Amino acid sequence: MANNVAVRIENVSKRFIVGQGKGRDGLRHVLQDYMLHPFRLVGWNKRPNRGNGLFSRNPQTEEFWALQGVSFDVTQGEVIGIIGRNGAGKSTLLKILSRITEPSRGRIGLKGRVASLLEVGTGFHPELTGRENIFLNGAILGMSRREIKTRFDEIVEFASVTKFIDTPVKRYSSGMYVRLAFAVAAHLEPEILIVDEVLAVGDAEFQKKCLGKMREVASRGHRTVFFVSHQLPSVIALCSRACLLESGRLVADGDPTAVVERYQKQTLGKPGGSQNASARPGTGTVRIQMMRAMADVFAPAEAKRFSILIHTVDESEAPYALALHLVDETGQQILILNSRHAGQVLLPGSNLSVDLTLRTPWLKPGEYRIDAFLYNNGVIDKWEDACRFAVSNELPYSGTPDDQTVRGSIVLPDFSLTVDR
Amino acid sequence: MNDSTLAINQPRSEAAGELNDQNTAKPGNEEFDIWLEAGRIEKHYWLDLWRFRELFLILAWRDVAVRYKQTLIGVVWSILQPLLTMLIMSFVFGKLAGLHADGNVPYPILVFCGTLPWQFFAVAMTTSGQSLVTNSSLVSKIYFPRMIIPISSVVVALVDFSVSLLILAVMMVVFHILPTSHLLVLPLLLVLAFVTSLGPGLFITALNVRYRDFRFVLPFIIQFGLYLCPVGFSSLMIREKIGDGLFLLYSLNPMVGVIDGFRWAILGNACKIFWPGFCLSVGVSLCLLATGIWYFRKTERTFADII
Repeated sequence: MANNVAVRIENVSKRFIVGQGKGRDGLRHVLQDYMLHPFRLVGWNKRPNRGNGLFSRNPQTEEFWALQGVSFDVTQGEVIGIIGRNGAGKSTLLKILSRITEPSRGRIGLKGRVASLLEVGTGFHPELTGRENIFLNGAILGMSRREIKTRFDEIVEFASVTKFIDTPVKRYSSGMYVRLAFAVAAHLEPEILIVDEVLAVGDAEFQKKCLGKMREVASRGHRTVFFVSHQLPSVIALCSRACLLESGRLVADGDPTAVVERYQKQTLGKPGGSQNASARPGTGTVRIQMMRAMADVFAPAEAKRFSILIHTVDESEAPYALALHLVDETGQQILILNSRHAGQVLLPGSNLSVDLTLRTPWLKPGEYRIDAFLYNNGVIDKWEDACRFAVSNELPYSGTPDDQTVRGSIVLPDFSLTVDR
Repeated sequence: MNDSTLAINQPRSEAAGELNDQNTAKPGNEEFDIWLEAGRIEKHYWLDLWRFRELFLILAWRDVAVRYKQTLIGVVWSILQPLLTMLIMSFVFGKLAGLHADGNVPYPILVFCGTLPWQFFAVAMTTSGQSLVTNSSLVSKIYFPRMIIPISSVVVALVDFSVSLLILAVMMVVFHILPTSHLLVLPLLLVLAFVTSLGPGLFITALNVRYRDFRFVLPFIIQFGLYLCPVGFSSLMIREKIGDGLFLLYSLNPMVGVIDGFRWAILGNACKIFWPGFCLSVGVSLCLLATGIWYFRKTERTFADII
């Protein structure tokens, strides 16, 4: 057993009772129940974990297990990313870690003090000034008055609201509000820090600042951080380890890049989309019969060839065009190809065979999919995920670009550089 | 980091030794400061309440500051409300209904001695009864002992009370009432009033989280109580009418004891207090406090889930 385990999560499960809104849970109904079953009042003690209060539970409610048997250990100083779809149980796990709610089963051991950032600006009151809100929010997050006073100037500076610090927060723009809220939270110094998607707010410049601060916090080494985010690039950038939750269970745990890829495969779903043309959206007068890449794997700078077969169902359709959307593995759309831009007009009538060659831009290593559309005035055929292919790691450069260069680019440049002495 | 920065969530490792003795002898327990599990009784809840005292103070400060920031009339209202209530009640009960006061005490001041604790109770109950729901964002996002919220909301009532005390001082001068040694007990009576409002307040705020009906029940109780409690009239008069035995039954209402106590403290010997009734009222207050705390602690762990 490692001596520097900061957090031990043992077989934790969390159950929620759903069906509260069915209208049978009001006081009136509870009292009615008691009139009819007076002995329930005596019997409620016998159900240890089921009572939410003095009154017995409405038998019509159902259970929902947000977490099921999650176990893992986190050593001190690790920055661990928790990813998963909405509803996978990430926020529930964080709430249990923050002691806001209890696990229904299992237990969690904590070493050190915990501070949570589940939302910025918790407790901010619009009538109070920025200065007053800093003290209020800081106290709520767990800082002592003295700590806040020491860091006050840093906080104001980080948020860039020095001029407005004494005006009521209700006058702040939403950007200023968020900056101030994050600034207070960023200056917490607990042993265990829990962050839940707070970086999803603010403009690009501020997000950069937040990421920088998070990086600083993470790199100091002795602080353990739990980081939940949907921004997968940030997870890969900041975390030394990642856990994937799916329907309340832990399905992957390890290197962030590998776990993120696994998550992506999960969300991208089965390759091929709807092969069945009639099930696809669009008027259907013309349908794409087949689309395939000439190779499963291309080199980044290689010309990528694709073959598309189009079948006309209704010959009276007007001339149409083909549009292809290239999407990478994080769901980001890289580019759109349009047959019109190649000077081609597609005429219905006979079956068409289209050959496509994509030369530039050079694509980053990774997996890609193509969504294909046929359209003129409206959508005739829409085939998402019509074709998939991968791009290898053979980068077309003389030196070896480091990870950061590739990661920071969306596509790879075809360029030349001369230096004059 | 030293301990004074510890206005937060857990006991530090130094305290872990003491904590872990109390844990069951499971392997691997030695290293951790705290274990979070279902149904675990928080032995350190009361210690946590002390640790979070700064948060308590700042929440109380926030409630007061916000109240007086919003409007100018807010400050004036704290003066007007008890004054107007006293005037109306003196007129209705004193002049119209022809009720008399104990001894030679002028009716207005008799009423004011009743209004003083009653206003405190009414404001304290109302704000603490709604406090958890009003602060639902804090409850669902941050850890701290939840009891801080209803307790800190009572501080608003305290501010109003202090304003009323000043008015009382002025009135005592106007009516030539000399303070007696009984007045020294006033702080204790304030504590009693606090206890009396906190007990039901905790109970109601916990219930309110689950059954929002109580938002409507509370104002009704307060309104009803204003006539039921001896605010506008003296309890001596009640005692004369229904006899000592039934008066004990009446004293089950904890505010009866509080109001009588206040009258006794302020008016001195002019006001006769019925000691058995008073003791019964105090007893009921303490019982209500114990029940309130028990129920609050029992349901506290589910607040974040259902708020």
